[in-house]
Amino acid sequence: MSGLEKFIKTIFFWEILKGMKLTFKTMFDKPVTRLYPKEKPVVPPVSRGLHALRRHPNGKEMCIACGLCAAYCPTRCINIRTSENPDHSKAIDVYEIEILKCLFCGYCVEACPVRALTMTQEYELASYTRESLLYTKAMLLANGDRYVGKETHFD
Amino acid sequence: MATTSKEITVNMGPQHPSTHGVLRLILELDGETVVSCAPHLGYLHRGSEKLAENRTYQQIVPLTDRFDYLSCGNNNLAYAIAVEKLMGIEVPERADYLRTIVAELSRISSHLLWLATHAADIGAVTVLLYTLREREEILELFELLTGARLTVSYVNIGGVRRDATPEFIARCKDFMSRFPAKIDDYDTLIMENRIFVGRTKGIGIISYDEAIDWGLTGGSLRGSGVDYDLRKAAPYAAYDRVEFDVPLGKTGDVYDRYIIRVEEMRQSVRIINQCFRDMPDGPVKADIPTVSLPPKDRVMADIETLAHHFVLVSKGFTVAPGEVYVGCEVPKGELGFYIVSDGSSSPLRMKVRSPSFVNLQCLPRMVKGHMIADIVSCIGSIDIVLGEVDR
Repeated sequence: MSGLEKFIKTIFFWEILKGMKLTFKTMFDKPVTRLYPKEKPVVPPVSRGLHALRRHPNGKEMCIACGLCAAYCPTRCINIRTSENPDHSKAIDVYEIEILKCLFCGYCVEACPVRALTMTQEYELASYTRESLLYTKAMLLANGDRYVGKETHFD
Repeated sequence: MATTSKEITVNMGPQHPSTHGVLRLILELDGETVVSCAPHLGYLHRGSEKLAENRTYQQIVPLTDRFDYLSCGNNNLAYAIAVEKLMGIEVPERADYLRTIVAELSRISSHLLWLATHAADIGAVTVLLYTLREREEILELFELLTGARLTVSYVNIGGVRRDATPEFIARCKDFMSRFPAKIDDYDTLIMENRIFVGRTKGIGIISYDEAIDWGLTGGSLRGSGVDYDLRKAAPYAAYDRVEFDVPLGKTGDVYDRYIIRVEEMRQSVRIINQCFRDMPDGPVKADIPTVSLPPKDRVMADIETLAHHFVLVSKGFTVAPGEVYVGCEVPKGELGFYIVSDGSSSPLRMKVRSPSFVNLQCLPRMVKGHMIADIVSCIGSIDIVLGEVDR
């Protein structure tokens, strides 16, 4: 760059003008921001959101209470307690996921041997109380019912 | 009246916006000149190394996401390679390429956020608006590939967790074709800007020898002109099969470190494009029954596989006694995992050599004699993430 050119570029703030040119050009672009609570992002089906328990087509729960999801969980946030039914099958007394401890790594879904546990595209999990973030079996089954026939996260 | 010159002690952080997290600096100031600077760490300590001793090797992968939470793909990769080296596992070729793609996408997203915050610290807030636009696209790509935007947990021991879909490949290729023009836009905004140049050129100079003596790695080392990149020096994943250049600085000041990190993003685009060109078809998980979980369809079909699945999930796989150190080139520098195994299914000891922690040692040397405002550009230039400094 010659001395004169450099002098002219310095006094006319050339590099600032170049930057401003980009700014003005971008003003006519389509905005990339979303008006979030009104416009929700489209989440891909593989997304790892809130867990769900699935049912068989006849309405029976798929979960066999083997406890593999609880064993595989890195944070141990799944709590299962079982008892025996009169017909000697296994009954689930408690199935809870402490969503506040959950990492959403999806290992529980990988561990489930019967594809009873899955992850859904629910991502708005904020709440005012800690108690409401302890997801019980009924809540997880209800979430599963919302996703019947839809593709969800399987490994 | 005679004025007396007296040094004062100032506390900067841990809640200072430009210390990039919870870094606390104790500064001795003579007027506005820094006489000495002492970083105080530990505000984000979570005891990850100790936690790893109570987890199976598989369960540690999500833990590694939390070290450098801006480039999770790289952390998973470094950890997985360390365990694989300890066990002598060969990874399928397609998995190697997918790992490289995820590692380089993480590098770009990490550098984009670094550029945003570094420029914003110095006063050019505009760059943040542009870089976060592209980072969002990368996060969406991650979500499409792995299911998560930030803590991907994608790289697994023996491969990767899921294969790339044609939709991901198409969208990633499209992004890669548009991205180099965006890097030029960032350069237009700040590269020649006289305020940016004035605040970065000649600031925080680390010479060639000093950079080696301090044990710097990554962009901070290469900014001083030292040609050392673990992707070239000790190739892992598919880095020995792709071509790329290692950008080097000359003077070792803040401006040089900025230039080479921007250039690294261009090289990452080159690497990803080559990966898509060369990526073969095939499995993405190593076919080693003692390590990889069997396919879900077979688990549901026959009882032997189901029994094997139960054992592998509930107990985890065991690793023969031994020790290993593996270093990988993450966006911040050399991330090393030193793992000692006693033959059980969880490590006896896992030491993490985190690049941010080592690079941060150099900060008192960098800022000595500079003005107090230059501390901000120096912290920005060594690119620290406090999650990794304190672990």
